[in-house]
Amino acid sequence: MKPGPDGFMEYPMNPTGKNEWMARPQVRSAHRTLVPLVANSPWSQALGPTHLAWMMQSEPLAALPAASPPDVWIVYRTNPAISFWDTETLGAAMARFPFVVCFAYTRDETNHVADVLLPDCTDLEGLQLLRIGGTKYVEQFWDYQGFALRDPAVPPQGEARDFTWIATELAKRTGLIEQYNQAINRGAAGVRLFGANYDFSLDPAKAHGVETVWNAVCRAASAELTDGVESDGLEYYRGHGFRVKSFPRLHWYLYPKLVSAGLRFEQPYQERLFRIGKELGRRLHEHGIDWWDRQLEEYEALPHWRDLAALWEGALARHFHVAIEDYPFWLITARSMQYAWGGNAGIPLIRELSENVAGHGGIVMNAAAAARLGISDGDLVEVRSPLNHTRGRAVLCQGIRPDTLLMIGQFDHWATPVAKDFDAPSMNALMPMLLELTDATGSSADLVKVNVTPLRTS
Amino acid sequence: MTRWVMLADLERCVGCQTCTAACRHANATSPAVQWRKVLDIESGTYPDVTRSFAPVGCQHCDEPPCMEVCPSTATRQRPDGIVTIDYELCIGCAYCVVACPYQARFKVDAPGFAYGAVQLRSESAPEDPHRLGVAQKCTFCVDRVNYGIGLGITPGVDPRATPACVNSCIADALHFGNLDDPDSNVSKLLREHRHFRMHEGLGTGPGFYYLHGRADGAVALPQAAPISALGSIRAKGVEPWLQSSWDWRAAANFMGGGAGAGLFLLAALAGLAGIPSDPLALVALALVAAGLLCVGLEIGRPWRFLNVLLHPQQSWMTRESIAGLAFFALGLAAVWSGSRTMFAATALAGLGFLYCQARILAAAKGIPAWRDPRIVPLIITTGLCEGAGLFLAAAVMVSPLEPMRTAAAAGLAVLAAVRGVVWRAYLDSLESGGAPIRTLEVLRAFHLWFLLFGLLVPIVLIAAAFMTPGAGAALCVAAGSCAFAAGWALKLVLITRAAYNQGFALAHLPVRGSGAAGPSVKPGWAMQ
Repeated sequence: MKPGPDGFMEYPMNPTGKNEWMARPQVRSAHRTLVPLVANSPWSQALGPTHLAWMMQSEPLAALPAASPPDVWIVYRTNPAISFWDTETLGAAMARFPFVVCFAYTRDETNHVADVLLPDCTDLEGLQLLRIGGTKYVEQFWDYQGFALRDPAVPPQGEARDFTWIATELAKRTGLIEQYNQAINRGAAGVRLFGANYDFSLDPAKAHGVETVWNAVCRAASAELTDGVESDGLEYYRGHGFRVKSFPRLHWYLYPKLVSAGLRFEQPYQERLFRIGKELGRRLHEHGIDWWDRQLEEYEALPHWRDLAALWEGALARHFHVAIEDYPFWLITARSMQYAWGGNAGIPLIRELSENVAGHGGIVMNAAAAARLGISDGDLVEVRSPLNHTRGRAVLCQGIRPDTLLMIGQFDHWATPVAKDFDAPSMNALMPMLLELTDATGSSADLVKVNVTPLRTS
Repeated sequence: MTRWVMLADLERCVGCQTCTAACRHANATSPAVQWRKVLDIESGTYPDVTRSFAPVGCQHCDEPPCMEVCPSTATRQRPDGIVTIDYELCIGCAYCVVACPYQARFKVDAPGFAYGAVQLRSESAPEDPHRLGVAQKCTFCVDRVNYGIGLGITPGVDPRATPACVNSCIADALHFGNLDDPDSNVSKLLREHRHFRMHEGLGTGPGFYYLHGRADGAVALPQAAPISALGSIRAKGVEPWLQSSWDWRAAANFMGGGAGAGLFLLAALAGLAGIPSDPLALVALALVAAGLLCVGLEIGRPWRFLNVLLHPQQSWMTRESIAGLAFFALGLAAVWSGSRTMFAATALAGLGFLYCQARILAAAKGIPAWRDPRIVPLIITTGLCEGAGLFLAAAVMVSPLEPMRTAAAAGLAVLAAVRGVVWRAYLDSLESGGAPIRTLEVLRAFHLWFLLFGLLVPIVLIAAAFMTPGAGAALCVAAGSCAFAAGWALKLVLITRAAYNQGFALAHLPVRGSGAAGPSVKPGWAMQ
């Protein structure tokens, strides 16, 4: 936390000044051009309008450069073919990519189209030092922060290789070994390898083995936690599992820091937001971009109430030329605690556990609303949005609004082992990617209007 | 003294099932065998709806009904309260499974694998073969507890000596410790919180406590308004479900046993009257033997069948076996010797066998339709009625028994009437005392059929037989067959269709944020 020049906490917004604004995006999501709030960290593309990159594959946006497909698309532990909105359009875009490389530990819907599969270890087979604790990017509050080792529990199966081995080989074969090592030295593996009184940097000129890389990372982690006093490496973490130091509870919250730095609170009147919104609007209009005007309305110092339901209904009706009354239900989703981000969808034990929690594998629906439509628990129903349709079993309960349906998780798998047999619906295929429903931060919501038709009784 | 107990804080549990996964891994149970799991309970009607999560598993009761019924003494209780199973003694009869009102016991007959029939390399050491075909359940991770005691560390405090589920809990909702130590973690938590134990009215004294609010917080809502009706609750896995441990083979034991014991009694009475009835006695013995053979096909470890005799102090199954042995030994001796005294003694052994069978069902606390005390006279009277039905039919078809026909017909009419009265009393008792809704639905649907073919038709046919001597024989055969068949149908229904288990219930819903704990919830039950 650093004080900014205007008395607020400093925040590295993407610049909107006349001479600093990035008129020509360097990446397909155009986050530095359109969304000052997401800043420009490695995470910013994911925070910004990711779907613009996919939308522009089929429909260019005025005054932005046409988005070409990537020369090489490298996929690491993600499965957008089932986990993004409008999966049909997205799949079509993926199919046009000339060369796709996927890290893979199992078959899935995205690596199904890969030209090259890189056989990655599973988490039980690979080596990695992970940051634990603290409050940044995690939901829990911890009294400690530090590092834990994920040490291989079993040898790699088949041709699988550790991620670090694969990445090093790629760097070596593409002539990028020096830049690769320098990136690791700067902290690409989670820890900067040098500090004020220690330096465990890797020799940039050489290709290093997996254990050499992680031994250096472990030593730097020990030094980071002890201000350079300790430098225990991989063997220490293998013996102890983790290393932590205390994390004061005062650091759990921003407030004491703001007070101690004498900073102004930015709410309720968000003066800075209002200012950058005005600036961004001028820059965009100067370059002939008016398709972001609705998003610009959100840059308010004091936000007004907006009828989001009407916004959604109007956008769907206009875009798909439908009578929105024919779609009386709101379809939403929720993350499953058991499946988390979905990377464990192929593990039968997770499937077993999730069955203890209501709603998995079906369409959660209010019991009274279902009764009005003649739907009983377990009945097969079709859910149709203006974009697409899917089907699944009705899971009736009381704790959901009568005008709302819920499809937990994203289980539209057709290739991933185990998950492809779930026969569970996903809302992703039903969700359009619409500029009109994109907010000022580049996000939207997992929300669409649908209707329900019983197909047969259970 | 030490009494190990577990606590689940309903306010803290988030239903993540991490404890379930930890238990599955730590104990290497087969797929879908969850010694520990977390229930997802929704109660109320929109918009006034509450969702609660409740960890369940073996409650390590003070008075474990599973231990009482176990015929082999495989289930025991340590002085520290942990209920254990000796896999080498267990015969796999699953009596403990139906006796447990917490649905905590499992029987796995063949190893299961994560990906179905395919055994992965990581599953080269699957289900412990000693655990196949026998009962299994949560052990409170007794090996970890023993390890900790051996090291002098405190179970429930040191993770090395603490059950895997407690160690894994992400929300600090599960706790384990010594109830007899007033300074233990669990004793303090119990002092600080309001708490209840599940199904406490059954008198099992569970070693598993549910916390549902601070002791100094608002007074919990009374339990007078339970939310129990089906349809207002999402209750899969919570409301009672049909037990599957005892199927038609177990039912056949009660069918053959009751009819055989009843038939032998009447054969013995005929013998006492000077009418030879050896063939009927042999048929009666065969019926009982066939029933026992059927149940033998159901047990997981049939070659250990002699272990069934190890628990005469408490187990009605052991007592049934002893009575059965006496019945066969005396019966064969009676037929061989023709001794009336032996016949009488065999008949008494048969009655004892029948009584034990009735008590077997009554001792199964996990099945509300069985544990009602009126099941005892019902099983006995229907056994006698079935025997009388067979005897009447035999009295028509076997000429030496002809002189007994009138008495047999009159006796059958009386027994059928008594059985009808006992059945009505049994059904009324379930209706008034509370029972699973599905159980009542099954029994209500069966009620008219049973009264028709088990009472009305036999009595009408017998009356008609008295009034129309020409057709009397056929009418008596029909009456006897009807009374007999109705009895067998009753047992088949009781064992395989009406035997819904106890299900789960919470005496209070947890406090949410602030305020009072909610009312009780007992899904799938008809309450008075």
